[in-house]
Amino acid sequence: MDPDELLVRRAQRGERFAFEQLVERHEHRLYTLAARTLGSREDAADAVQEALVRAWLALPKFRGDARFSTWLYRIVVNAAHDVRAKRREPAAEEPPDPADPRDRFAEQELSGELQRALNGLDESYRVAVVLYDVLGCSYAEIAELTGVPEGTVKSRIFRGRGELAERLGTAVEETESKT
Amino acid sequence: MAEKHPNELELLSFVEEELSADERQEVAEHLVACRSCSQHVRRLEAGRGALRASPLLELPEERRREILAALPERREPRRSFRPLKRALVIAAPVAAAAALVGVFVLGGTQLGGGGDADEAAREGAATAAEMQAEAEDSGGVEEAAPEAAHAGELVRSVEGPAAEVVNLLRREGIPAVVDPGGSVTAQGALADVRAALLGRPAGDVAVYVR
Ligand SMILES: [Zn+2]
Repeated sequence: MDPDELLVRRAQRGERFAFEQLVERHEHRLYTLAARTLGSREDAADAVQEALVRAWLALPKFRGDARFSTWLYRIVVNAAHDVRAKRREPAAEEPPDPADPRDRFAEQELSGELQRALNGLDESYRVAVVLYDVLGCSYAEIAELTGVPEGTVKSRIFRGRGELAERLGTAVEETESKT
Repeated sequence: MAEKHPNELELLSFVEEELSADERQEVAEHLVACRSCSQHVRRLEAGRGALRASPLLELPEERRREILAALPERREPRRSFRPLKRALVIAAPVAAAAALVGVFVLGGTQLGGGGDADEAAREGAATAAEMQAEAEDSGGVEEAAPEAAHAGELVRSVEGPAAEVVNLLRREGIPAVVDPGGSVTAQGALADVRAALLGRPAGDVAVYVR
């Protein structure tokens, strides 16, 4: 049973207050997913905002085939992808201004070893390991929300975790040998 | 070295304890003999450990409030009545009255059980709650009331999504909201708004200034 079902039904009928309660229930997980994927708090908040607008507007069409949280995660993954794509475009046109080295955004970047290691992973690996290990989604849920077979999900988790460990420099005694 | 290496999926399943006892035993024996596979296993465990030890990150409270306040109005296809313009000042009492009506009708239909009346009651209750929520939302915020939406002057139409346009403007210090129809209303000097939107490609989100 989806624990969100009752609130979802009320929000589908247009009750903003029900939707707000759903947001309160899930916001930190949505934000964590976006932030770990994007590596920036500001971009993550933008992605969550965009995702919640899309979710609110699309809610009447939500059929309850998937869990509500799975549905939300999918929207966040897509919104984060869009935010990332948008950030790239202007960066290509305008070379960075040395007088403004993004100082005011500096504090918005997520720091820490884990995030630096995550930033180096392929986006699909990052999404897979964050969904699986941080948010506790099942293989099946991740397959559904990323639109790939379960085998691919497992392979992404395998590689994502492995590469992460390597970048963190833990558990690796020396050079790699092939499987 | 033992016969053949387990594949990626088998090693992951081993670490996740998803194998049968026999399979598990087989992989365990292989790991004793195979340095490469045991290194994979250690990496899988280390990667998992680092991820699982990481805390949930918290969306700042203020951002949450902004996000909820900027949610656009949603057209409800089944809504039987909808006031064209709402004065926010009277929204709270109206909502309270509507809630009373909703509860009353709902109470009545529990006896009779008429489908249509039931539906109407739910609609009424939903509308009341929505208006209540809107009345609360509009409380502390500096934002323009949505009613004022298109009273402003069109700056230009830019690429969406609207929420992102709003954020872009706010980052430049210009208060802005998403209007019910999906356009954006900014509060500030025309020149400032125009400047803030300079790099934004053309699109279907109309930006008004007032
Ligand atoms: Zn091996």
